[in-house]
Amino acid sequence: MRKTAIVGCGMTKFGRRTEGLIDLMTEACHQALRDSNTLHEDFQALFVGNMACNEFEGIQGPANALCSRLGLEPAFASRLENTTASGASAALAGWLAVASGTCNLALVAGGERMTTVPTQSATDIIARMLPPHEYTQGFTLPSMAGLLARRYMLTYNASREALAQVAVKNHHNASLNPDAHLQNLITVEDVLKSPSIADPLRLYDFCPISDGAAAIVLAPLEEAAKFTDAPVLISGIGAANDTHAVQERKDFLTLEAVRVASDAAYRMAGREPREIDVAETHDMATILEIVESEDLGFFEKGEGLNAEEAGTTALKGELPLNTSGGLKARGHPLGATGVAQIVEVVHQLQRRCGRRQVEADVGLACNMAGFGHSAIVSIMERAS
Amino acid sequence: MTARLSARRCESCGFAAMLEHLRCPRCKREVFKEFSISTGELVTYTVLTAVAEGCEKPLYLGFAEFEGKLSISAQLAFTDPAVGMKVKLGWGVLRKKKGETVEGLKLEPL
Repeated sequence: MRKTAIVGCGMTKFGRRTEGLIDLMTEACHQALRDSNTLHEDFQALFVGNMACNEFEGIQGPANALCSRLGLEPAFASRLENTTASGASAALAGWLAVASGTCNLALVAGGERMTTVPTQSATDIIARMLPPHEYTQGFTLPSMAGLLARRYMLTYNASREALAQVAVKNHHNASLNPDAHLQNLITVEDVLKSPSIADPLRLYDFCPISDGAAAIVLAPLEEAAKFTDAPVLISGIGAANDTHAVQERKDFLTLEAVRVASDAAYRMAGREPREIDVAETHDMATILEIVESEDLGFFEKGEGLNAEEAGTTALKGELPLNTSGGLKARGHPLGATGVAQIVEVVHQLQRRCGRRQVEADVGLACNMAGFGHSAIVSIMERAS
Repeated sequence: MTARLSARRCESCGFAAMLEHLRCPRCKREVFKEFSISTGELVTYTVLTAVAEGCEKPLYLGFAEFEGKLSISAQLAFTDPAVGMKVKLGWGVLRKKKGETVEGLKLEPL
């Protein structure tokens, strides 16, 4: 396999957008093409991460539409759908294509437009990724987070206030990110006074519904200098699935797909969790940042929330998590998220994050499908 | 109303599930045996106020562990849940889907 690098990135502002999905992805791709000086290059492939443009926007075949808009023909274009991990699934496909030698230049785009439907309809569209039994019962993704939060708090004697601190931190980080959806600062009290959504979790424990897109350009590392003076190597990548039905998990407090995928990524990169300097996790709800931080190997089981309280995961801590604001505050346009996480890590490694910049040479992104149904973990390193 | 239902257990490793699998997700064998679901204990619950279309709010949802290491997620047929309480399987109205009322399993206090 060839060493594969990210040589360019692009991202739209996340939030409520009036443009269509293809417009948003075009904007992100245009940025990535300019960033990598590949505007006039031939690409062999375009991989598009998108979960539900059929339901949200009433269109099919977004990859073909985007390929045409960008003038990428005859590059092969295809959509990758893996629910909320569609973005990282597209990145994995791009990595496979370049690392295997099948393609030399691959463009990866992730995008979703969600504000086209009322919130309750969006909740329902997303809940349909659950097994039919769970969906029919009325389970939603937020309800799973509520169930997990209660069990976690009971098992580890964790406080509700400590969990709220995750949201406070991620809003603070997002306030320093011009592309983030929610840029307002909040307090623990704000979280605890917000309306109950899935008891014990409240409105401010959850990500908003957002529109947006992100894109990256992949090339062989040995050719990366042609496109950028700051290539970022994908040194490790791992992916895994867990049971579709959450009720069939070995341990309700462990996201096994995250554990297995990250183990594989660490092995490929020859790295250990303690060597990661910055990470983006899939914090659709505050409790997920905590449990993922444990299953990624950053902290022992039951210690994730203590690390949060101690400031370890803050911008100035030892291991800053979700410097972008995370799904919680940067926003979570489903298919865009996995690519946007990679863009944030790349920008951190390239020292392009302005007021939210941290010291980092090795970064990690963890994109999760559904409630841990699937996970893709990427490890990235400065290549120059 | 008490529901009398069965689940399947992998004869090789003991993994138990209500849903059908061609192969056991843990040991990859394919021989399962049916067994009757008895009583369980509520492991966690949530009260959902942001419900999906067709569901009444608030919606009480829970996870219970039944004898034989079988876990079941379902609506609660009661509104005073506590982690650790004993439950059994019942039956009732779950939601509306395309205008039709859908019934299914519910967790009831023992």
